[in-house]
Amino acid sequence: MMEPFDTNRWTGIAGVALLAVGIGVLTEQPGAILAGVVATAYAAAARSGDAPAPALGLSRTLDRSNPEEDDAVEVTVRVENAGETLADLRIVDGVPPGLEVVDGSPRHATALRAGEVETFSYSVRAVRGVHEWTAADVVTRSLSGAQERREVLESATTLRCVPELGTDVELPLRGLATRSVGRIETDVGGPGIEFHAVREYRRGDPVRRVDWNRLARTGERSTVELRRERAATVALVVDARREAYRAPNRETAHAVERSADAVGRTLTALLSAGDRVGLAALSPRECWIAPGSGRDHRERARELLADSPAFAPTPPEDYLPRRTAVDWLRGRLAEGTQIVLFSPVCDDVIVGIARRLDARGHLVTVVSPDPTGEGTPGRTLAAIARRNRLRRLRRAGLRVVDWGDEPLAGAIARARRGWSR
Amino acid sequence: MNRRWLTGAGVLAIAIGFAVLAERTLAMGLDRAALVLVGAFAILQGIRYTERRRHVDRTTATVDEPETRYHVPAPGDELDDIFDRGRHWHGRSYPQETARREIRDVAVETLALRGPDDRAAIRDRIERGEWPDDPVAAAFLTGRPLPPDARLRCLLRRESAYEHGLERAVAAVAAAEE
Repeated sequence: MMEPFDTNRWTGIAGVALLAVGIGVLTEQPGAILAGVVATAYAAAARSGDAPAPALGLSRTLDRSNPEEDDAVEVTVRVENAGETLADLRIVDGVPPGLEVVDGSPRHATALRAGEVETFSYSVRAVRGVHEWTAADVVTRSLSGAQERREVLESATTLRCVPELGTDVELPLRGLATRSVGRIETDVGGPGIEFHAVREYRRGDPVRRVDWNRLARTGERSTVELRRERAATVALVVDARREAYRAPNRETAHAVERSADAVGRTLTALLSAGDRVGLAALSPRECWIAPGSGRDHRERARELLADSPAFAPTPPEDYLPRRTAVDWLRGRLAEGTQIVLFSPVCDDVIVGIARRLDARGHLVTVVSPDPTGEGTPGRTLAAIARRNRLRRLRRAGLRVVDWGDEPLAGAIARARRGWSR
Repeated sequence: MNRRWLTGAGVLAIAIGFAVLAERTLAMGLDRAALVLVGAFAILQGIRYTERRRHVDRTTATVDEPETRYHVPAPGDELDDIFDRGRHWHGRSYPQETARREIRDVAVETLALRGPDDRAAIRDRIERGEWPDDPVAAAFLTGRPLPPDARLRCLLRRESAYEHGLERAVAAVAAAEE
């Protein structure tokens, strides 16, 4: 329990009283003396009575605990006074840092008699993740306002928002493939849809593959081969280090939130195409799902994107050294697994990580949500430095999607124009 | 407890005062000189107490803003902090040199990615004042004083030469990117 402290609201009132009395006595003016008496009464009132120690019980209820993203969730706070009467009570609820109040106020001021109950409500906008309320701040004041006392009231409340993974965003993958049938075009003939070559007919070849035009022209039987399409093994890796928690302004989602959203969409598309997809975060808060496929795997990834502390709305306190990040990821990736790295690329460390992984055979595609702002020399320079890093990555042979304000699909389409196969 | 005794004593003194108002004979022992002494003492103490108010700030319990989401910085906010620190110094001070170095590093990278990739040569050109063509930006990046006409303009506009040079240097890097 915290000690009460003086607010200094009435500091100096005793001086006013003494001045009035002194002037009244010297000038023999009863009015001045009377004013001094009134001021003395104020000074006495200010010094009498401490800020009371509250004995309160606090509970919260949410009108829904598993909302969809962007839903407004109404929070009702109930405060019960189990102690003495509180003439001046202020309560500030501990709204989770990742949530924004969209209606009402989490602040409440009231007087509360012993045994009385007070409720107040406000609404927050749900965003992806698990959000826990922190302790509510409670401030009591003495009747005169000369003293205050601050306490905290704990009450566990959790809001969990596990949004759908979003509509498909098809991201072209690079060349590495598994033996399973999928969508990566290989240089090997076999089942597929794109023409690859014509070869001599072999006994047992399907009739529909026979090149009838050639047969009519030359009388020789030959078989059309299509380009074999195979599935890829892909790790979707989110840069969730401290350095990635950047946004151009207060209103815009930060780069880690945008990355998590983009991961959801990409994952949907890749799994639908038959690829094996894993999920990881480059963060001191570990997060990893090994590549897999199927409906259950998709559901597990969806839950992880919402529940993992790695994608929390607030940055981790610790830093992640480059070597640790590369070693950790490489220890989990099978040979030939390609990487789609979601990162704002706000520092040189992530450039080093991407290049090192690419050089070790994990073909890397970088999807970079742009968090840069403008209007100050520092922001202008940081935006230039980020574009320089993206250029360096492209020069090193990595595919880069620079994702500004437009939809991700538009950014990918724009980036594809600059990619060679 | 002391405070309560003092308050009690104060209330008692006021009560006696009121009693004297009602029954003047109670104050027969006090002459004019004693009253002047009491009045003067009260004024002196009053001035002392009132003066104390000037040096005391009001305090109140403060809490974070729960209405808004956690705010993350924009890239470059930390650079703006570095640039701001330079505003309070003059000449080739450490904060101003740090600001110059940050801009020079981005300039070298920008030029190296868009022309011959000889970073040492680019850095030499910048440090000799041969890049950029803008003499204000070039002087700023070398740490030399700005040209006299630029300094005069700053003086007339009441603008700091450091800020003027910094903005021109950043603009030169931005132009090199295009």
